[in-house]
Amino acid sequence: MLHGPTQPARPRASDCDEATLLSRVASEDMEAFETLYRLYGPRLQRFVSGITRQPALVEEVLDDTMMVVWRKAYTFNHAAKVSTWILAIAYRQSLKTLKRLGSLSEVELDEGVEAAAPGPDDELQHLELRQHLDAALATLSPEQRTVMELTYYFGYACREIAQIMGCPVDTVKTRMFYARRKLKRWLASRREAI
Amino acid sequence: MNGRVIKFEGSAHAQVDRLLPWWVNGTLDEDERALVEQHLAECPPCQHEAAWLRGLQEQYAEDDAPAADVTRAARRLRRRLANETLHVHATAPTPWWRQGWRLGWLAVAQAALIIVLGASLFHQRAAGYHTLGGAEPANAVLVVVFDPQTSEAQMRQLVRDSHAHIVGGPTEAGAYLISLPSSGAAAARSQLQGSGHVTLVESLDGGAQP
Repeated sequence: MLHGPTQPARPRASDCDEATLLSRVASEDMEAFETLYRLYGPRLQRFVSGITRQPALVEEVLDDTMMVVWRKAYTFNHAAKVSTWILAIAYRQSLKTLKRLGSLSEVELDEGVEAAAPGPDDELQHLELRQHLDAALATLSPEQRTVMELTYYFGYACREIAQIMGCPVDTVKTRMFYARRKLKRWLASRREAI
Repeated sequence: MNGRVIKFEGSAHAQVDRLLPWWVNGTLDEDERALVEQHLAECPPCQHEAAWLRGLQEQYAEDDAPAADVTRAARRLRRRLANETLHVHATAPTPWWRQGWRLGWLAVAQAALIIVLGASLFHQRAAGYHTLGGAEPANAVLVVVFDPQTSEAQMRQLVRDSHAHIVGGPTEAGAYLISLPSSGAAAARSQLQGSGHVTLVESLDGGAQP
């Protein structure tokens, strides 16, 4: 039986409150900055950790992100939501740090090979996912992990993800397409190895 | 990245397959959602795929990050900001707006002198170009001296709110020249005066008031 779509429930302050907070940060209001940090710290920690998969980097990227928020708050022009604006900064900072450390690999395209069609039943697949998701995600590129993270954890629409990542909507769909295929192939190859 | 971007057109099955992740997270618009649900009702492979993606989403939900120690992190950032400020102060001259009242008032006195000289020069130069049928200049220029306690961010905000842009300054005395549409000059002037962050605002193009 088919279940309808479900949106991940993430606590969010209203956009208006957040925009007010950000304008206070633009006026160098330290208290507002700390409030914004409390609001976004856990979300950013999760997001950066999902992209980098390197716990040792998370604190550094998080701090760099918030420093950019502090310095550039006055440039926020309400064209996007505050959350989109801040996550876009975190995304760029994550890639920048990975690049600096030489951990940013090119996205591998597995052209010409369709997703593994035959597979175990749904229940077994779920069990596999539960046990091995972490290792499977590590095989994806940071860009692919970002799309997965923003879709499944943060519950963003495709257009919003394109805004955050600064790329066309079709690029987001392409990254998701290859991410899914790679995950399935990794799980299938693991299954065969047992 | 060497990623080839795929254009997602073609068969309904392929189109729906690409939309499934966002059908699962409930963010498709009405048309896309209708398309997906119509196809799902008659396509077992897509039903399987949707179930797999739902499992993936559930895993993400369960895999919640440990709560960040926000207090410690905020303290760390505060220290970093303080260090950067100290570094800036140690390597660059203190900005005029942070130097205290005494210097501020000195700046105001100097600015006043500059305004008088500037205005007189401006009138002399502008007079030669006036014609009888000439239109009003499109832009007005104001001389503004900000309160020494005003932060840089507040200054920027005030200039933006006045729909102006800085065309000169800071002079040695800390005065700025801002240009804005003539039609909004009077309102901007009142707004700047009433902001509590400006110690002096004068017009350079004949609209000066005491």
